[in-house]
Parts: sequence; structure tokens; C-alpha cells
Amino acid sequence: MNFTSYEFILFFAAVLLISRGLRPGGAEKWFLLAASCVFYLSWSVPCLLLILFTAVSDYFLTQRMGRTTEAGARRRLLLASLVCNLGLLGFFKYANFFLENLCAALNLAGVHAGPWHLDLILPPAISFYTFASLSYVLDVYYERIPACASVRDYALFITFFPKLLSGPIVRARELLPQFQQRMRASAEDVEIGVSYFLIGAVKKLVIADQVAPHINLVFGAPGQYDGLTLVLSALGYAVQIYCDFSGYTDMAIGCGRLLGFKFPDNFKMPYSSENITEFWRRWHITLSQWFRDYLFLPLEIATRNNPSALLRVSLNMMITMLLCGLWHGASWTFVIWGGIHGAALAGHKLWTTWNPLAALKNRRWFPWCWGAVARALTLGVVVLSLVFFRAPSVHAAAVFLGRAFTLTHDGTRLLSPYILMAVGSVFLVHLLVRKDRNFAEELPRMSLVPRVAGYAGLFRLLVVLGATDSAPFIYFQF
Amino acid sequence: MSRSGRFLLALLVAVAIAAVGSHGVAAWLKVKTRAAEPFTLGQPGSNPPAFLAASSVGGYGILWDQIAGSLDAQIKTWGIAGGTPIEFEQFQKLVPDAKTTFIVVSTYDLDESLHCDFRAAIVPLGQTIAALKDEQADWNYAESVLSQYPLTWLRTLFPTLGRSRGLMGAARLRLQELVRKSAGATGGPVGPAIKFGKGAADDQYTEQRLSDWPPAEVLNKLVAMQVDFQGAHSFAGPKTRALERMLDYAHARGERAIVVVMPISGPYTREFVAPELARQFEATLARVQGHVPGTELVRLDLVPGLGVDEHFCDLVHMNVVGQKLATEALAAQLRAPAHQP
Repeated sequence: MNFTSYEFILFFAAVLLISRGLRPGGAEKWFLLAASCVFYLSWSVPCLLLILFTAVSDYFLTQRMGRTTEAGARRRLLLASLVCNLGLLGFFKYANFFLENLCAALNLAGVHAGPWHLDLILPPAISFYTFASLSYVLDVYYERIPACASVRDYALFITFFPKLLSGPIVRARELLPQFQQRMRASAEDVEIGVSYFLIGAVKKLVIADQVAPHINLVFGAPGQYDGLTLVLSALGYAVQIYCDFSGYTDMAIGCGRLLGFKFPDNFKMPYSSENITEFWRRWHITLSQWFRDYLFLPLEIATRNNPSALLRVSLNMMITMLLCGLWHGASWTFVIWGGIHGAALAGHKLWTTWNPLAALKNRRWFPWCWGAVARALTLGVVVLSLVFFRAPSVHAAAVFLGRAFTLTHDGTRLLSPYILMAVGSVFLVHLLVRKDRNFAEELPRMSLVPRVAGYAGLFRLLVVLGATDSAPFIYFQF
Repeated sequence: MSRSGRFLLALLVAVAIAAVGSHGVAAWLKVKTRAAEPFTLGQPGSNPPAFLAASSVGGYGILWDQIAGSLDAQIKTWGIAGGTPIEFEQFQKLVPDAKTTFIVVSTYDLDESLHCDFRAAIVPLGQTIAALKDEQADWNYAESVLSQYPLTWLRTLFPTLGRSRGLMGAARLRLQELVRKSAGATGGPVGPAIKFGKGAADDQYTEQRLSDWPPAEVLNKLVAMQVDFQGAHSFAGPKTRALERMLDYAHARGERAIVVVMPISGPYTREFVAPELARQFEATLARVQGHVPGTELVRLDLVPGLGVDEHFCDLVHMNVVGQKLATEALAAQLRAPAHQP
């Protein structure tokens, strides 16, 4: 059930009506849990057992963790949870990647091996719900939150359908209290929810899905196209993935809000960032915060005795981003994507420490000029990394970049008007609109006339320019 | 007024504005919103009329007025953009006095992964559900077919809904036309439309040659087509079943049934008709011919030299030259002794 499908609209309308008819509390939460299971079943029947296993096992492990004060026992329980969660994630997502590389390494060493391949299915949303569950277990271990007292509430937290498939990665400390002190959606919540959903649908159907066919074509055979086509396609993919993923999370936030739950924002105008550190504060925010809190900061604490702070931070950033790349998918292209971001973050750290342009800061023209250069540089790094993110292989990415950088005239020029319009409109919005604005929140608070104009504009975009058949969301594969 | 009331009011007014805008855009771009348009081709002759089931591939490919003349009978048909046997089956019974039935097929419009945009407006929902049950269709296919019904209902309010690619193409051509007009030139057609029996000499669109297209234009068209396909390409499914039912109906009434197979351009075939699929198409035609004894198969796709890119105005439609040659080939085959009733 895709968020943009008729069956989801019908399903969600039914869930909304029935849940509003139920008394907030027990019955409603059981109903939402059942609805979430039905939603997950529409994606995979056997994998429902796996997600329920994750929820139930972590619930009981944290229950025991909450009852004991003995450090050793708590550590063992944490270890059991980590092995369980990361073991399942590793097995289903990375087993074949590991086997392929092991086989290649053995062959390189002269030992004939393989090809080895396990016939596995990737359980939908496994990366997302594993991280949600891990954050809860770690928070309970570090006594940031108490262990959840209800297995139903915890199972609902893990499976809650609006955020299940591709986030936002909501923390237990953000969502569990909302289950426990259940509040009905107010009239304002309903309007904000509708507003989020409409904006998300426009991003997905009007922009992402319209450029997708051309992007797929060019990335499928980059050797056939000229340099300009490749540059435009790389920019087009940056727009596509932003609109696809932020569109999905907007719709997820909207659905949650309509049911009376508040999820954190996941994107805040990322392409207006003036450096890569700012980019990661605006792009997939819940994931970057997860990696910051549960990987980068523990690494920083563990290596705090390292005398070179710059080297330590840079190394920890690199490790964090390489693992972030691997989280996205079992492929070297994702590792390289993470490596580029790790290097860029370390480079930015070095730049801010060194601060070579400090003398120019008081010049009147400096902020404007440097702002433009910094934005272009940041966007350049992001677009470059996204070529690896999208390319089917490292070789294809190398061919793509080789031809794009030389702006070769050899090959077909495919200048799609859809991509030109999409790239132009999205980057213009990022350039002209203030970075911290959130139209989904602002629109419902405006007076009647601008509200009507805003909703009419969104509806008109959907009914005139909305794609005929919605493509699957890109992040569903992770 | 309460907050909820104001929100509902805002939403209703917004929907109304969007609906008016959608109708305005549809009218400006001349979007085809009528599912089926009746046509009667040729002059009344001494023979009973014939029924024709053909999408734009058959409509563009053959000068049916001339065929009607050679049969000395009128040909009755309905123009359905992207029409397939599933839709034409609904109209067959509307020509009870027909003595000849022409059904035009190709590897393009008999492909099960391509749905007619007007199917839900023509085929009753109950009939579609029954057909999907009979076919034991998988959920993805059933979903893509059934989702056309709410789309059709919503199109009453928003006629442009789900037609964005066609709209953008039409808008581009419309703007080009306006530019030409402002420069004093006469405007051409804004794109392909089914014009049964009309001489094509005045039609700028059908005068172009696919072989003259730049490679990027061909790629753009292929991408646009790729988007229209839903699911795997196949020739064994509801369309073929509907074709067999139409032949059964014609046979039961003692009609002469002629299946005309049109050629499709090289780029389309190379991109979408893999050798295995081509074999499946041949097997389907053989089964269809064997299904109803006496079914005449006219293979224009096998006429030497006809299916070259010089004879197409786009990836699937023949141009004026191809149309003339295809019409002559069909007329000749109909005159051949094997095809005489």
C-alpha cells in the first residue's frame, strides 16, 4: 500500500473514522496496532513475524533491564538486544554483500570460490524499525527513559504504520509518551495534517515521479549520453530524491498528525545549506541525529584521550558516515557515498578550525559572495555523492562522472523539459525562500483567502501535473 | 464559524477552484474527455455494413473510407483512444446488422501491460471484476485495472487528472501553434487523434517520418511510453480473451471475421518486443485463428518493406505514405481468393 494509492486512501480513511469512534486508550491502541499489522501485511506476509519478534524481544529485554541495577546484567541484556537486532539486519541485508566480497577476495588470492548467494528477501522497513528499536533499548540502558510498561504500546511504537516504512525515525521518548497520554487530534492538527499530506503528494507526484523515467534512462546507460545531459540528470536526481523522500515523510507526518500524533520534521530546505554540516542538519534529520547520538558521540567519548581533536573528530565522522552509507544499502556505491560525506564533513571541520577567510569577514560584499560560493560548493559535493548513491555500480558511476566532468559532446543529448522545470523550480525555492520556513505548518494558520489560494494551488498542481502512475518511494528499498 | 468549519469551507472552495481550473486547462488543450465517438465510414452500399474495432494504430494505418468503398458497404466504428478488444467488445453488439467484422491488432495495442485510458468509462465495473476473477489476475494487475474506476469518477470533477504527460505535450504543441499564429503561419494539428476515414493529406502530424527524428526525440517518446506500461509485457491475458469473444460473437452470427495485424516501428519493437515476446505474439495469433474456424488473418506486419521507419509518423502510427501502402496491401489481400467469402 503506497501512500499515493487509492487503497491507502481508503485504508487510512477507514482507520481515521474507526479510531475517532473508539475511546482513546486501550481499544484505540489495539486497533491502531492491528491496522499497522494489516498495513505491513500488504507489503510482506512472512516478515510480519520478524517485526513482531523484534518488538516483543526488545520489550522483554528492556523490562528485565529496567528491573535490575546490576551493571553486568544490564550490559548482557543490551548485548543480547544488539546481537538480535543487528544480527537480523546484518543477515537479511548484508549476508549476500559479505559473501560476494568474500568470494571476490578469495578468487583474488587464487582460491577458487563461489559464486555464493543466499536466496533472501529483504524485509520491508527493516533498517528503519531496527534503528527505532535500538534507540529505545540504548535509551533505556543509559537510563534516559524508563522501560515501556506495555507490550502493546511498544509493539505499536515499532509498527506504527505512518512512519513504519521509511521514517521519520521517531525516538521512543518522542512517541511513547504520546501513546501513554493519548490526545485527540485538534481541528488545527487535522488541518496541519492535511496540509502536510498535500504538500508531500505534490512533491512526490508532481516532481519526483515526473522526472523519474528520464533519470532512470540516463543512469541506466550513462555511456550513451553527452556531458550536459549527464550533468542535468545528476541535478535532476538530486531533485528527485529530495522530493521523493521528503514528500514521503511529509505524508507520513501528515497521516500521524491526522491521527493526533506529532512526528519530528525530517527535511528543512537542505539544498540551501552553506556547508555540509548544515546540510546534515537539514537532510534526513532523524537519521543524522540517530547516527550522531548513538554512534558519533559514543565514538567521541571512547576516543576522548586522543591528543589531536581534529584528527579524532575527522576519523569519527568518517566512520559514522561510512556506516551511514552502508545503512542505506549493501553496496560499495553507498559506502563511497558515505565516504564522500565523511571527507566533506572532516574538510569542513578543518576549514572552520583554520578559518583562512577570517580577515575578509568584515567586508560588506563578503557574506553575499561567500554565501553563494558556499552554497554552490555544498550542492556540488551533494550532487557528486548522489551519482554514487544512484548508480547501479561503481563502474557506472565512474563512467557517469568521467563523461559529465569532461562535458563530452559524444553521445545523445536528452534535455528533458520536465527535468529542467523540476530542477529550476526546486532550486529556486531553496534559493529564495527563508530556510526555516515550513509551509505545512504555516498555511493552516493563515487567514482564509491565502489558505484557500494555497490549497487550490496544491490541488491544481496535483490534478494537472500529477503523475499518472506513482512510482515506488526510493527509500522503501532501504 | 468554528475552526473546523473554516477549514472545510477553505477546502471546498479550493477544490471548486481546482475543478474549474482543470476544466479550463482541458478545454484549452482540447483534451479528449469523451470515451468513444461514433463514426460511419463510406457511402451506403449494396452490402450490409461492417463493424470495425481499431485503435489509433488501425485508424491511422488504413484509409477505411477506401476499404468501405471496395466492400461496397458502410463501416461503423467508434473512436476510442488506445482502444483494445476489451473496450470494442462493448460496441460490437451495437451493429446488429453487420456482416463483416474487422479487428485491428498489433504488438502495441494487444500488449496486456498497456491499459486503455477510457476502459473504466466503457466497461462496467461488475464486468471487469468478473473478468479479473475469471483470469485469476494477480493483485498488481487487478489493482492497476480497478484503480481506473475511481480515477474515471474523479475525472468528472477534474478532467485533467492522471493525464499530465499528455497535457504537457499538448501544452508544448499548443504554445508552438500560438507562436506560429502570431508569426502569421497557419496552425497545424496539436498531436495524434483518431480521424477515421478522413484523408490524411491535410494532416501535418501524419506527414512526418520517424526516420527523420533525432535520436533524443525517439528516446523521449520511448520514455513517455515506458511510463504508460503497467506490469510485464504479455500477449496472453484479458485482451486476447476479449478478442476471442468478439470472434465467437461474429462467428455465431455468421459474420465474416477479419483480424488485421498492423506493423509497428523498429525503435518500439527493439525496445519493448523482445524475441520471446514476439514468439508469444505469434502463438497468440495462431491460437486466435484456430479458436474460431474461418477467421481471416491479414498480416500487414509481414508485408515486405511496409514496416520501415520511413512509413511511421511516430513510434506506432503510420504516416501518409505508410497509410497509403497499408491500405493498398489490405485491399489487395481482401481481394485475394483466400479472403473471398
